[in-house]
Amino acid sequence: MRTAIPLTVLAAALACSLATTPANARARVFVASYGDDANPCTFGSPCKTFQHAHDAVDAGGEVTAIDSAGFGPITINKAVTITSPDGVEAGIVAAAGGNAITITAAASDDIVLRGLTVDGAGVAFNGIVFISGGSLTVINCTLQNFLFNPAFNPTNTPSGNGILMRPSSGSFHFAITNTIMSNNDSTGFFYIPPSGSTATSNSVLDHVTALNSGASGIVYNTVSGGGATTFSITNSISSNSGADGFLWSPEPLQ
Amino acid sequence: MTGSVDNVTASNNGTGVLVQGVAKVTLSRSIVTANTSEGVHDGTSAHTFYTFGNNQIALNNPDNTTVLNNATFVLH
Repeated sequence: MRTAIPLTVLAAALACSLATTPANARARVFVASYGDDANPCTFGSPCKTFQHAHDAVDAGGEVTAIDSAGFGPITINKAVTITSPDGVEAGIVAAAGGNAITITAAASDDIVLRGLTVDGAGVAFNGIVFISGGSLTVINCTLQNFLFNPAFNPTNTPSGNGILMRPSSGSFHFAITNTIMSNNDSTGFFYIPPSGSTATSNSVLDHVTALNSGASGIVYNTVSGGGATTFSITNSISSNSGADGFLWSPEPLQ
Repeated sequence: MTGSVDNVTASNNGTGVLVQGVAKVTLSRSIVTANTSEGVHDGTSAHTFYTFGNNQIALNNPDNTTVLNNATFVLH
């Protein structure tokens, strides 16, 4: 069966082929269901996993999924865009006890995640874990089915969350738009800097849906740490949470 | 912790919207309904949970149990 390649992907490939960058520069790389991590991650010879493509792309570059498949968990340590064009479903199914996307980038790095379906399958701990970076933009993503770890310890990484913001220092901003977090054991969106954190942030959540969260839907919690925290939330829904729909708590929970 | 919440829906949760401590939050044009513990809860230490009186808060159990500051919070 042939798989139709979206025009957006073809356009990206054409633009890449016409670029005047050196042959060894990889400002844009590709993954595909038929890819192989032994390939150079070009449109004609795509890689198999997001992690390998991330490692191959230049800082500030873009990883594009050519067709629908699962491309594996990823740890992001530089500025990068991971994108799945319209008509393509790029999935990440995290391993049991692991996280799907972990971000440990530098303070000046901008991270963009677009069009990803991130699934914990009831065994993985978190969808996106942001630890450090300059900014994070999440667009058109789904994060679902993450497991709460009964051995939860607030000094370590909480579990059961769609998006977990866990910065320890620096000043950053993030935006989440058109994104659904559903059926997560703990929280859909959870901003909770660790103990002693001095991180400051400004955030925008627009058209975000948190559904069927075991604990709460959308939470900003600076009980343990964190500096100045500002936010704007618009056009969003939190429904069927076990505890709170929306929670802001800069002090210990009552 | 300071921010705005506009045009959101909180439904079928335990508590719909909960603000605590020294957080400063504005809530506007939002629907809070069918929450089983409480619709809105102002747990701020100095009533820094603000509204503009244009929310729709109803059919919760109850809509509110905390003492809201009428100067800053209008329950509709």
